[in-house]
Amino acid sequence: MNPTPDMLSRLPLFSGLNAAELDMLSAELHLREVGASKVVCTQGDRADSAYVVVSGRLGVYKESISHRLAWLESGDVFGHIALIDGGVRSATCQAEEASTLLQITGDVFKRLFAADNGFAYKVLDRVALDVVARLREVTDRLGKVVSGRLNPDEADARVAEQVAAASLLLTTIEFGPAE
Amino acid sequence: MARNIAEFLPQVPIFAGLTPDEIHALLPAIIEQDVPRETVVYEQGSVANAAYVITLGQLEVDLTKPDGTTTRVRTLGPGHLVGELALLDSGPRSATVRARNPAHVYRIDGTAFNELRAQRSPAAYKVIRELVRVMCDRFRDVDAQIERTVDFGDPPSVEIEEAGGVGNWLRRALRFGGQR
Repeated sequence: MNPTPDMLSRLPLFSGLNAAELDMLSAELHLREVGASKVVCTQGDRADSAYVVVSGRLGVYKESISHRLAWLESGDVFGHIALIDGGVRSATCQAEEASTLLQITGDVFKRLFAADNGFAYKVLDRVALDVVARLREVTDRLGKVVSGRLNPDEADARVAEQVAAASLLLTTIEFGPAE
Repeated sequence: MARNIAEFLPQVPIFAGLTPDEIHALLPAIIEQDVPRETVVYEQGSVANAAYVITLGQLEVDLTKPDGTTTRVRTLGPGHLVGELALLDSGPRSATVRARNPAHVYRIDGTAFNELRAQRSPAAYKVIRELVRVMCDRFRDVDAQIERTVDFGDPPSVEIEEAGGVGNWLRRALRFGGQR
């Protein structure tokens, strides 16, 4: 089923698009209903689509972690980073309840991301905002760790190591990997 | 100057995909600057309003922590881009950058770049697209670094719970969270 233009206009990723653009997009995108506990993407797999959560809730899991890493809820975009950099899925996403997802196939996403027209630029602006928001959030968090605002027990070597690791990560994000 | 920029910029990865015409379209946003030794290019905490491409000399990147200690985190040379996040948003600078020796840079003005963006300049959007790709690559690098360096075990005590969960907490922000 295709999403309605009205439904698309309420998603942050597509805010700012005009009626004609929303119409065009609604014909290209598909709604996907997923039942509770259905796995939508699997860590290590090649990425074929990006998704926006329309309703419901999904959990994010990493193989190295025994518990849930994060929730994805209405308006959240996921799966697009692997489409942008061509990497594999870095986590597994599983529906925690019956959910509705907007599926953006890799083909459509790449066309939107790479095209040189006003429509694609609006979407690229939103994707850039999303990436910057993630970057700012993680650097703010790293800043708190590095500045000691978490008040870790300094005698705890593990915490000291984590602070050192966080400091290194902060630099990598801002200035790229060390040579 | 224009000719030199047109020759130099394509050697910098984020400009590599631009045609000579597109480089030309960016020129209104770019000025050449000499940076005398020890001169501060930008200060940690100041509002970001430009990116810099180093053409000669070296720039040092110093990070000052709240306890007042400063660490040199990078020394960057010709061909490097620094402060590029200013082209995506105008948040505070995360470090101080100064010239180690007499340097020369191309300064890409954030306001002028945003004007090109508002005019839907394909050249500006090519740069944005490349910056987004670079950031996504760095997310992946950081994710891999977290995997290697940060302890993911369940925190053994309440006192370090927040710190103990650092890896997950960071990853949530990096890749999996929404914009809330």
